[in-house]
Amino acid sequence: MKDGFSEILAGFFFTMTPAIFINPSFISIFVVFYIIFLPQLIERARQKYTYPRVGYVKPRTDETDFRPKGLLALLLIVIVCSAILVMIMTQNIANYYNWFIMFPFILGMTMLAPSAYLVDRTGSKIYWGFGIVTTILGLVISYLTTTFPPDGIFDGLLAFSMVLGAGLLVGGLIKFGYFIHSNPVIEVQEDYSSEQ
Amino acid sequence: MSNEDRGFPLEIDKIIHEPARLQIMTQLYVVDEADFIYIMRQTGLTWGNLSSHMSKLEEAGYIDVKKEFQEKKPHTILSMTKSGRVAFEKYRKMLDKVFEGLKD
Repeated sequence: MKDGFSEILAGFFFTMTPAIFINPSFISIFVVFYIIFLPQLIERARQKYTYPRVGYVKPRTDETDFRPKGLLALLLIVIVCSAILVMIMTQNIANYYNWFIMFPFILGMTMLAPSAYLVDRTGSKIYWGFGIVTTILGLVISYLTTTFPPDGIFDGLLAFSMVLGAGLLVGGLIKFGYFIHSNPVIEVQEDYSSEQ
Repeated sequence: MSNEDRGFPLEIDKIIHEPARLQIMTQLYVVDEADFIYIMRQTGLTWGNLSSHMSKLEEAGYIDVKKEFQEKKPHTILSMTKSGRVAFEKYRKMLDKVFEGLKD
């Protein structure tokens, strides 16, 4: 969607995820807020701001759309690329700690899966941009955690999640502002009483 | 190939074989459902035009029209019925036959 709500939703997800690592009791709040309330809030917001401007459409669902081979291939590529990077950056692939610092890169690269899904669904290649940006961001954060080792092994991952979430939130809000500005509300004369 | 082999004389569905209705059917074929505004934007039809063609397609049983209220405003949702989908696919095959073997 052009309204930016998907980015805002994903932004919330990534900025809130570190809270679970900091305090596992946040998981219940996370589930209630993110899984139950946020999608409903987004739908209400779409009813108010999106549908009166560009209309409502439910894309055709294809049950055979799931592609396990593609996902497995991506997983294999991620593991191989991470192993190569661990070798280049630390020269010690056997030390599991070195794999922890690769978590931001691994997570960043797995974002290519939703990118591929969006490219497939919309036909717009611009969605590859998201997966590429997250991969580069993950690589940069993994590199920084190698150069300046943090206190906790998950700190790199948390930093990645927060930076990505903040970026998505800001990007989503800008997109929403532009959407509102460029798409005025369409007034239709739908009047049931006058219809035969 | 003789005309009979190619399915001639053509039995083109006159309900679908009208530019505005063809546009509406094409839009609805690729989605599960869409509302009035979405179809208006995609087809460029005016409210009156869309409303009239929508009624014809509904009478033919090709589309389903659901009316509800959203934010206290009337909201019309359109979707293609099974028979509409069958008719559209048949129409598409018929047109393919017409252009079959035609050089660029």
